[in-house]
Amino acid sequence: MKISVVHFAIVLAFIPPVSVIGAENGAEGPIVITATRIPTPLQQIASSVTIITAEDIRANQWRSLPEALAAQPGMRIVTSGSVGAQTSLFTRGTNSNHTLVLLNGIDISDPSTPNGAYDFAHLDLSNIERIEIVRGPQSTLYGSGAVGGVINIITKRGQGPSRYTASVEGGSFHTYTEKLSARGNDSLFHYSMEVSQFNTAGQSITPERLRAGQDDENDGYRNTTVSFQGGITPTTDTEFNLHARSIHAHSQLDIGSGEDPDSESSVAQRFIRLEAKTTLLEERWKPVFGYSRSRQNRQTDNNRQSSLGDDEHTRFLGESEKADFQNQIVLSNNNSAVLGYETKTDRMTAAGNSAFGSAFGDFILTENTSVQERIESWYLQEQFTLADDFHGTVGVRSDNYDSFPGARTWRFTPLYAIPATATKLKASYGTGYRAPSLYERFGSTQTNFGTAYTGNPALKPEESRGWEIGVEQALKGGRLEPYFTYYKNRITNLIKVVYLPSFDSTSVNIDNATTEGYETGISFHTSHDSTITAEYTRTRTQDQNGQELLRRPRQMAHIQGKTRISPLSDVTLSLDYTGRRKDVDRVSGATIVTGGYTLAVIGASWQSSKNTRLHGRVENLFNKKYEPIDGFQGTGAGFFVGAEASF
Amino acid sequence: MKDSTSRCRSIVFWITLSMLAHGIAISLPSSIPPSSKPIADMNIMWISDWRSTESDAPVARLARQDQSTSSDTHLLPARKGALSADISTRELLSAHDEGSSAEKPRTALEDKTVNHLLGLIRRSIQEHFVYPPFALRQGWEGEVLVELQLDADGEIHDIRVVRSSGYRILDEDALLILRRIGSIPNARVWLQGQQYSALIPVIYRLTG
Repeated sequence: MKISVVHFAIVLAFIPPVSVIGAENGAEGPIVITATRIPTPLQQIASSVTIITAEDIRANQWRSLPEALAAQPGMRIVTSGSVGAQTSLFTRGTNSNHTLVLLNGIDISDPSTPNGAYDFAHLDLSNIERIEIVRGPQSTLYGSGAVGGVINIITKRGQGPSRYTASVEGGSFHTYTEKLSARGNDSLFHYSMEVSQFNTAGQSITPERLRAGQDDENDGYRNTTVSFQGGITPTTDTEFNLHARSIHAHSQLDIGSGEDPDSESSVAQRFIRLEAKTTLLEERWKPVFGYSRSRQNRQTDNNRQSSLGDDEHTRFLGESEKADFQNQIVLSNNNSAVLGYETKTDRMTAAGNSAFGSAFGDFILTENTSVQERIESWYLQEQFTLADDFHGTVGVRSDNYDSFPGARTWRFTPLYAIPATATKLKASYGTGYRAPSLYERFGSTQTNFGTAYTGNPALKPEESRGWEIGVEQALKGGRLEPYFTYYKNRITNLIKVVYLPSFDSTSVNIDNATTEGYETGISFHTSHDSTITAEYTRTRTQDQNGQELLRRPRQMAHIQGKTRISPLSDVTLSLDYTGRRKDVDRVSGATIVTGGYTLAVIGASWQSSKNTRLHGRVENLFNKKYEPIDGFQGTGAGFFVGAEASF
Repeated sequence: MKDSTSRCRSIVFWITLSMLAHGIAISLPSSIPPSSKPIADMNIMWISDWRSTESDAPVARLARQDQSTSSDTHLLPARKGALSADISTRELLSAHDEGSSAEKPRTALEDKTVNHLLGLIRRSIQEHFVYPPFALRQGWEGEVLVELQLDADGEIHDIRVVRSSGYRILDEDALLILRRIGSIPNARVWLQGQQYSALIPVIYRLTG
């Protein structure tokens, strides 16, 4: 077999989502305007859902998941500094461990994380087709963690003749990105793979005000991601798919209250899923079998520079394994159900030491946890149509844990979509929960004097109840779309670490919180390739003492414009406002209120030939100095340009 | 105690948002239906009205084509409570067919010319189409039957919905697309000083 030279020519296989097709015989026949149906999973029909498509990602030149999420209503992304640093998401004012993240159905949260929060820093957007953001309590379909919402990431599937793409990008802070991808399908196989490499020397994440004469030390980041999705379709009704993603990342950090030249963290993550799908009984029954595994290894290292400095060498390993069986059953034209069963095993291991120097000698913490647990769940959801335009879903779920009584959740969502006025009225009421993490229940951290933390096996899950009502309206043939959603969540049994007189600490279910607010916005589609969107989110949070929760801004606003300035070039502009919020002072630990900031990004792209595309953008256009978390600064103005070739 | 600055800020924000919304609405004039008639009225056209226009100009071949080559599959049944005229497309079309076969209008353009004109219209539509995102999200599809008049200069006049899809958003979209086109370039040559009336089914269909 001859090896052919693979030409990497330009660009992106850009499949326009809408096309106009004349009838078979050319000039005659009706005018047909077609678009690809958006597959709306049953469960999402009346929820507040935002879908970020591959086209949105491309147009906005987003590189990583946090960048894409930061632009969405109700989502507050907080990075401890710049790219690669610990990144948390607060959905609708809920905690950072209240959003569940799924990658092609794999729960990618790390079971070894002490509080169960997902670190969004390392998921780049290569090989990603669509990101669905579902807000509100969704545990009924997804289980633990879906208190504030769910982020569902779906990777690309090869379609059409094989296509190869290569792209490079470079810019400020010695930032370089290289990507190679190949995807395609024939009647039997489909595949889509992408390899990407990102490197940046970065800027210091410690602001000048805290450096106190110390030299500025850049905190860089690198990330290598390999993603593959492929499968076999032996008959039109049956398919077997494999999805795998591997991420290796390395971040330079600053720990403590100032610059730290050698504090760093390495992350190695591997996710794999095998899936078999078929369609039986004249498309009335669609069973799906899945098996997935994840392995996440997080290592933190820091050598001390002085006898009073910090020294840390710790390793956390989280693994999980899940088998699931889901059935979609069509009962009648206006009644269908999803019935599912899952079993999952989570494991965590924590080891290593961290030491804090003091005048009285070192204070050493030793991580020593190794534990595993099995969860068995079943769920049932039904979707029905009562009248022509009135739809609803109702669902229940039961999760049963080895070590504590399980959780039952339920959800009801009515939806009324009125064709005569192009109005959608929606509501939902649901319950959610977060199971205590393995560390919260079984963790153990020793010190050279005694014990610093002991897990509390008697912990109960955090529980939430939430409702929302909303209206969406289309005006002028859909060119103008305003919406408004009001929501409220009440979360009880929140887990908190408390310190005991013996210098030990443990976790207890002690806090309650309420989050409420509204999301509103308007999109204006001036033509099929120009859109202006303005969105505003108001959030009010309160704990049991009436205090506002940390790092949750009351106001966020986002304005974005995208326009085609010539048939071959597009320009995008976005403005993001984050309001005042409560925070903790990095140095003193006191509770403070920090000011708001606005970030602007401008980007442009040019299809220079059939196969080549050039793009460029300026991030933080006004070079705003801002601290997403007090004492950790975001990146200043940066200029990036890139080219892409496909063949 | 709410600090007044945050209240102030939120007022400023709402004013800005409102200005933006109004700005958008005002900047739309070219696509706003010039008639102040509510869209619901425009959807209904009685068959007698239709016949009166028929004698003035030949009717698009396209309409007949639709009846003969395309099955009812892409004609959605009229939805309950929807804004459709109380006649089926099939009835409408056959009524029209009888008319044209019984006495060929003297001013009839040749079939070839008609086909060419329809091709021009279709091409113009291709440059302006958009599947309304709201309808796309709800999974709404349907067929709007639109009638328009082309004057001898190729300008499009009197665009109206003859039969609603049952979805206001799709009806409005079809009207807006045709209004935005305004005129068909080069149509003048083909029209040879005649007017032309076309019945065009615009089908919104979701695939996949």
